[in-house]
Amino acid sequence: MRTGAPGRSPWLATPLIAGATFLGLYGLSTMLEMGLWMRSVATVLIVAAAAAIITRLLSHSRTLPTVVAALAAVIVMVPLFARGEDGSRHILPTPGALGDLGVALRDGVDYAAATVAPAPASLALTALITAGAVAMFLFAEHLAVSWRATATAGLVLLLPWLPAVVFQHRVPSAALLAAIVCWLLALAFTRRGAPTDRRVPIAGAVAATVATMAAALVVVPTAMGGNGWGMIPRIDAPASLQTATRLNLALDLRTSLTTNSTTPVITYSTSGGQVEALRVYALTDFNGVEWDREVTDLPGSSASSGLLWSETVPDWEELSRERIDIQVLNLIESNLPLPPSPRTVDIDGPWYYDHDRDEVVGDGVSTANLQYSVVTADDYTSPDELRDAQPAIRAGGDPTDPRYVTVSPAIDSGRVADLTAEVTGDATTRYDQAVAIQDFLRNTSEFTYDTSVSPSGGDAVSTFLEDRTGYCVQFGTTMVVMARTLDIPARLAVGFLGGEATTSSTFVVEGGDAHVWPELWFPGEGWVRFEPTPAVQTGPPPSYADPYLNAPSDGEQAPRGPTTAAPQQMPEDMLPAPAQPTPGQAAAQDDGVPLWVPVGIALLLVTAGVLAWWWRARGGSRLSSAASAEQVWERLRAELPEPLQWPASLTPYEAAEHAESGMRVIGDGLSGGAREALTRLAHAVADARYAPEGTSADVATLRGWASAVAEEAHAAAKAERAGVR
Amino acid sequence: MSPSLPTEAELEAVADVTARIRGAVASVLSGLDQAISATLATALAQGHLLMEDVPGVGKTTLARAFAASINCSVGRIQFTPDLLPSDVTGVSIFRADDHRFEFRPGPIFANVVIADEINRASPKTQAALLESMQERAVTVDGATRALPAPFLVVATQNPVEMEGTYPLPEAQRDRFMAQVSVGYPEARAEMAMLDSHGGHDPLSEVTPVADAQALLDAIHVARRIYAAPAIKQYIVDLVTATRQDAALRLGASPRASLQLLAAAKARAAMAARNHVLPDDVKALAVPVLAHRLIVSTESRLSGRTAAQITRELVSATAVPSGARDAAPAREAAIVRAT
Repeated sequence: MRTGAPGRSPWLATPLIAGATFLGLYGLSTMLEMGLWMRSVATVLIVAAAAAIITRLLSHSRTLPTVVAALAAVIVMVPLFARGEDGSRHILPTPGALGDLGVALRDGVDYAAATVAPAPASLALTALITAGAVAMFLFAEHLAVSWRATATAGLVLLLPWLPAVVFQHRVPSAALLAAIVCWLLALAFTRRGAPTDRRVPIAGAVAATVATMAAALVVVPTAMGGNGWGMIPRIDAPASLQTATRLNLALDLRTSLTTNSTTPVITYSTSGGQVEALRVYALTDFNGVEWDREVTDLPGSSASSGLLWSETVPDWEELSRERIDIQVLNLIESNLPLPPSPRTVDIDGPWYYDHDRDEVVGDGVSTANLQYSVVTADDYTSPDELRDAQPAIRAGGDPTDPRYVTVSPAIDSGRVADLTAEVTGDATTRYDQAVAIQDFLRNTSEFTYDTSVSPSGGDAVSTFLEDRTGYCVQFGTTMVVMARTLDIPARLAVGFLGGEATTSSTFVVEGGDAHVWPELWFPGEGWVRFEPTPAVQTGPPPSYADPYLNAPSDGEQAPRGPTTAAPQQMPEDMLPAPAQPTPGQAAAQDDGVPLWVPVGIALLLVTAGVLAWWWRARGGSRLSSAASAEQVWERLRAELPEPLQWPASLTPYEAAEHAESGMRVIGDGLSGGAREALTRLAHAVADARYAPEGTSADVATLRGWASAVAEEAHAAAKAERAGVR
Repeated sequence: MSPSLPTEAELEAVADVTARIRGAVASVLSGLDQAISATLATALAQGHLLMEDVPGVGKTTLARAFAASINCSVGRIQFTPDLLPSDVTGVSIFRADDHRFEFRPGPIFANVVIADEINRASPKTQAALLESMQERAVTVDGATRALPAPFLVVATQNPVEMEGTYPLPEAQRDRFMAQVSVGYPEARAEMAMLDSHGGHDPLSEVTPVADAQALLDAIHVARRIYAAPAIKQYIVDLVTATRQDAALRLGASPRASLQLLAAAKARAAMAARNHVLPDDVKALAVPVLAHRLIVSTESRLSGRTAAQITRELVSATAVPSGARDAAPAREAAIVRAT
């Protein structure tokens, strides 16, 4: 019965909606770090979908499947996420286990509130996301399958993509398109079987819609020079959100910089003159093209507990110290920006000192609008002391962690080592080697500072050494790698340059001052900052590493006056991302259309085509079989010799009679088999057009009948022509 | 589509009843398959039938044979110029013995009413009949009395000898679902007629083959026949064509569309089919539409009749394969010299 009959396979919509829900996670990819935790979400969704499908097969209730699916999801979530007080895993959904699951969800909420995006997914956050995804799935599935309101369910499925639209983040377009395809297919499978004779070629409609969406979302904007999101209306984020700034820690040497931020992020006041830099993070692992930052546990010692430095400072009290009052504006970081020299910090709140990384890390707090003061000795390091570290180096005073001297196998280390040996020449101490490398990179006749870089393969350092064009990330990274080829422990620090003076004692740091620099280890001195990025961006190098200051005056420290011209802040250096960072944002823009766009479109079209073929091949729905009966009938009409073709005013049965009498005119009439085939075909067409239940004949049979008639008619027409001749 | 589709058993029953009635009528009048089909379809669609033809071709015989084949009450009114409305509907008579009025039902209180030579009565009497036909009830002296069900009026009319008659106005012709012309029989059928009518009245041999209840059941089945949107589209296309054709002064009314669909459903039920085919519509287009159309003077003078024009329109209107939203399209504009 066509009347009120449900769509052909509504249960197929359930896994499709689960798929669309899962793909929705990618809509949050700028807020969450994608990773293995997604398996947990997938597992729970699969279980919930399976429970819903099985219940639907057994029951006609509208609500029961959703309830059962929700229960199944909770049962699976208990062993995945619920942990006892002692950290033990719960297996069965006992009341206590459910309570612990609730605790995990609350922890997830707290964690999400306190963490800065993109948040690494903790167990609690995963539990929270899973619960959200399951709730979304259940709601959408209930709407789509129980109430056949798949179009409305699409609104629910759209939710996770909203942040991306509102805040103009880039999300994986492929995932969005796949989610849309899932939804469209679900729409097709849950179609209401309305008592209509309109023949809707579902598969064709899906294919056409997918192609149109792909064209609208990707091809057209890309062709027009946009980024593939061009057709989606954007809502501008409120000003307060837009000024929020974060350091982009996904430092990729292949990425060109495209934006320049003049948003003030930090102001500070000090009588000691502009600070060299404000250090926020340290990075150790480099894979040849980009830096990776591993997540570690919170350190134990409080930041306010004393002197913070990577090495012991015996003569702290005798050093000349300056107090710096720092006011962070709308900069959202989990670490405190600090000067790269020994210091004490006066700050309230849960801030802890990570000795290995020399970072002050907040526990669930961010730096936004934070005020604190630092006392530092910025002339702590001197060339002589650095040279004097040589015996300690030989005595094995370096950190034992091998990562500080690891050169990624992706890098042509032999070549870099040869170049480094050439550059350092006869330098005997670590200090002289470091200064030689720094000066080599700062030499503007050799290297050019430019924010656009040419794309490279897996070895961006070698590319940089060939092109000799780049910005701080290339310069800093290359110095780290070159130092490591000499077995000097080295790492990359991320932070800001000192900014510009607004008065004689106050300074403002803008988003465009974001910067990276290498740090080399000197026993007894700690991690020492060098500045290989050319002066055009960074101004003079640190006083202890400035050959022009040190060479003639043989050990006498030249004071750095407070009126030292602030480095001209030309184009910004590192990319400060708006609101939340968007790793790799600029990566594709300068290289034209990324390869995956045409490939993705081709794949989508092929998939749609295969689906359409499959739909037709299995006879399709009754409606599509009606459409094919009509098609076969029209094709037969066009194929038949002229006198047999019937006018449009004839009904199928009359048309069959017309063709048959036409055959008697040009020949001896139809044979018994062909006449029967014609009658049956006419009957099938009449059924398809006018009968409530449509025709039961499948496409192949219809085609068989039509070709039997057409063959005989053509033979007769040919014989007639031959006879006339 | 609120009512459920008729079952196969129900459809078989309808086909069986109609085949028996058809057989009984055909035993009296041979060679009148078209007219008999249209009569049956009209009866099943709860319409009324107008028979218009020259005298002596068997209009009244067909109507009487049809009535005789069904075991139900039959009323027969011979219309004359002096026939009064109360002669049709009935009158209230004062009975002196118990001092009250008693209603004496007229001949219209019957399942099948044969109204012979309807155009001979005065318009007032015609109006009384037509009103009862429409309302299936009679109001006399302020009391409304329902007519029995099924209720079928078969009126006959003579197109020649029009002097002194009151031809039915268009508005009243519209109330008849179909008009059938009996026509002269073929030579062979006429020979057979001469043979069979050898001295006795063949009508006397017709025995009832169905009862009123069977007819009522069939009517209920016919109502539930499925009509695809394409069918409705086809009917709308045909009716619209009559309204646009230059050869016609008046096209078919929306009531005509409704009645054409109802009649087509009845014809489908008679064939034990649960859905209407365009063939049903085509077969009934002339009987249901032609008598409502007014042919323009030019066309009439060039000798074209409404039935002819209807046939041309049918053969020029495409059979839709599905419902369209757009305006109906004809295969080709019909261009005629006038």
